[in-house]
Amino acid sequence: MGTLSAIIVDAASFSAWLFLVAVGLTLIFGVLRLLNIAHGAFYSVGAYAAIYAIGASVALGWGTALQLAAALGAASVIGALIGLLVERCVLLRLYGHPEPLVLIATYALFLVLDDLTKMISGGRSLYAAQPRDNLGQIAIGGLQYPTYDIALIGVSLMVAAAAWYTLNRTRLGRCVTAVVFDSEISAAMGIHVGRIKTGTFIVGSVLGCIAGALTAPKIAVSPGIGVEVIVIAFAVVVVGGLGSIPGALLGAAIVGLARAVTAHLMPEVEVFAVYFAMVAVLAVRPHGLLAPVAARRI
Amino acid sequence: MKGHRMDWTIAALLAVAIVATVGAAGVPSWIRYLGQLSTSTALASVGVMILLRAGLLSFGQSLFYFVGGYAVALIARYGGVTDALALVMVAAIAAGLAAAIIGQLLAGYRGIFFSMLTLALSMVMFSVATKVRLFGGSDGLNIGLMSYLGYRPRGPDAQWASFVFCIWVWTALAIMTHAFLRSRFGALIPAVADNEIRIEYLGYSVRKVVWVAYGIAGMLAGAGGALAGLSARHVDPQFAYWTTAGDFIFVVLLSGQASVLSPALGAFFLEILRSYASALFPDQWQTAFGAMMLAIVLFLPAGLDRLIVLIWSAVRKIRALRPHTLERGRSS
Amino acid sequence: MTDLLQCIGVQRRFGDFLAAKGIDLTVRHGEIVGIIGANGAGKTTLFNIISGYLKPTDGRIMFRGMDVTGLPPRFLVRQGIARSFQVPQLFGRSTARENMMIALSLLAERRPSILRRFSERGLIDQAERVLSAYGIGEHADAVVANIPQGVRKLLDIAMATCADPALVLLDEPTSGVSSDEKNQFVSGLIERFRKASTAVIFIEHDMDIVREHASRVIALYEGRIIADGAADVIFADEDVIRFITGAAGGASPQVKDRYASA
Repeated sequence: MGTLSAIIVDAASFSAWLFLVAVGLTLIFGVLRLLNIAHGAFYSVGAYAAIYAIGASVALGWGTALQLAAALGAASVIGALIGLLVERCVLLRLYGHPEPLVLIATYALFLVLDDLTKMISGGRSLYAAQPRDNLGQIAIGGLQYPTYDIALIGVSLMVAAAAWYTLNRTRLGRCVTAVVFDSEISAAMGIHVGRIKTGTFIVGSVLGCIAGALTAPKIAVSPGIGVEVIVIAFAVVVVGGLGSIPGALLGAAIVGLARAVTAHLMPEVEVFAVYFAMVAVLAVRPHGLLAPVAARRI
Repeated sequence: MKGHRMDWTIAALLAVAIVATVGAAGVPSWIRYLGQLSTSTALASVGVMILLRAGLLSFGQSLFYFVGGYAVALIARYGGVTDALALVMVAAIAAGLAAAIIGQLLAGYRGIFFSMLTLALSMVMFSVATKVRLFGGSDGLNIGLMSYLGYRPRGPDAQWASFVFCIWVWTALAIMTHAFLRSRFGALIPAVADNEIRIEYLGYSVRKVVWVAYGIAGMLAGAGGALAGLSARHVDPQFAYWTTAGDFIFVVLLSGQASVLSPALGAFFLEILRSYASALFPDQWQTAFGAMMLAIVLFLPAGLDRLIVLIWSAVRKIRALRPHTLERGRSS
Repeated sequence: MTDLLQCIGVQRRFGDFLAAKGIDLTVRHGEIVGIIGANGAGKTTLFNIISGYLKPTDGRIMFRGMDVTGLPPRFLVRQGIARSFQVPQLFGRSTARENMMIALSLLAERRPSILRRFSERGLIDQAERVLSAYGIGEHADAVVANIPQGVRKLLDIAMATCADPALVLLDEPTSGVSSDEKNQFVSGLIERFRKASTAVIFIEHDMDIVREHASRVIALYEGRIIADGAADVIFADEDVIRFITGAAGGASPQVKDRYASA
């Protein structure tokens, strides 16, 4: 029975991380109709920001709560700044351009941002495990888990709930939904489509940076962590259906479960679990589980 | 049939190959080496160009580059084959077969689905390559000296022979690709990007067009990877890494898609850039590379061959001395 | 002589919505059939099903006595079912001549050859002959995205029908054609197909054109055939007047024109 509970906890923990990583990507796709490869770089920028913020707050003698607040604050500010800059200076000029060109632009942004983190950190692996260590361990089903990792499951669910509430229960959210549905008609109805797009992109980048910041205490932050993230986040998003937030949650749950099951029962294929899950879902539903139905073309 | 006019692309390709062969002895060996490396990048980039003409951006041509390079290394090491031509042919066929199989899965996908699935596949290959002992792990494999249809050069001659060999493999494959692109089947490739429904209603399978294009692109990338392995006499998992695929995209972005010759120019430019950049600012290469890509996307999305067309038409207009026609340069 | 096309109890469901509710329809060789019906009556859905773009949820399609239910367009086209589109489906970045050349090289041969050149004198001449026959030869060099809608419409039909099909489906051939040219436009087309004894089914909102050119009219309402017969009979039918043509014998010209330009 121990294995089963371990699989469930691991699946929940990994799914929570996957959702955090994927939610910004799917939000940006939903509203701006572009796949932001630079999202992986946002993640690593956020992770580095958190490392430095935690380092500084530890040096100042701050407590765990303040360390985490500093990490999240630093990641959010940097995420918002980069998001604003990228959307206004690059993407704004590319709306309506062929898809491959936009994809190449976000790839180029990834390279630049990724290299910048390398220059700042000097390419070393950095650690900031203090908040996670300070929070101690918690016993579930006879096994010890870091409290921090379990708390992340709650954080992830809160992000999901907040996203759902904003999109479905607020005026702003309805404007965003309207833009997703038809940006031309939204503009005709007096919605500032440009502002909605900029705002969404900033929120998406902040979410990407926060995902990195929250992960930073768990890992060795080193150059190159962003590449894996973009591929995995895409897999999650594609399983659930591109552009759908409930889809990202579902995708995260499926991929997380697949990974946890293989990690415990077939560890040698664990690395490929994500891709197996993706291929299996795409074989049955080529555009993901909760993808919106395409309109008639002829 | 009358009217077999001269094909300028083929003439230009042959001219480049002949000039390179004859002039090879007269240029410094490092330029020869850069030229040799560009042939491999150029071949893989031609594949990217074919797919891009069909509206598909492949982020995973590095996968077939890897297959080609490692096919050469493994067959040379374990099969004892040293004939360069045989190795390149086997490598291209292996990569083409791999592309044909993967293409069956991918032919139904378009847009970012296609791009990201190709990306994911190349990254899977990369992580496999770094772990498998047969592939030499992250150190890769070395490749010994080659023979060319019985000719076994040693010393400085070996480098010269290898250069000439790469140039002619590139020329032959570029001519074949050119013939393919201007064939009746080849005419369907841009048509796929334009209107898939119409092709289906003209009685042909869009899936098959995409599949064939993907197979040919994979074969070209495989040949490119084989040449890269032969040139550097070494292959490593970096062949499969996504930035390798990014290099091919950069080349096509830079040179445009006008003809099979264009990627060769872009590839040569990339190799020169890379060798200077690694000497001048080794730590900022990726930033410079990314910034340049962004600049092209933002200011010259049709590539440098478009710039040449623009300059040419501007020159003609200035010659015609009609200032008001300059206004018309920015249509579409 | 066997019937050319037979639809037997054809149904198509989109979620909860039935776009075709058991359609039975038979078309004989060389017949000219007009389809009328309001927007959303299921006219284009019917074309999509007959031409293989959509699989029917239920029912069968027989063509020349062969069951072709669920076969894709690329197969049916080669069997002789050609189809034109309400919004012309063209290769927008190529010239009209290149569009026609692709159509000819695909439809005239079993498969497009990798060994034969595309820009071959023979193919070019053939394409130009077809364009001239449709009176659009002067646009041969124009990039398709830039030519007038009426010409695009003709090119779309010319491409679809260049391999002498047995059955032609025309989806609103006159939408986008100016109202004073409409009649001549349709006359030319119908004349051409009548000469080749090609069966034609066309969707049309202009009742005068239907009355003039269709030897038989089918009225669709909410996914069902409510009347099928000779034009005079159909236009006098109570249901047709109530649901489709209205007491005045058709929608007002303004509405029609707005529809045409949509």
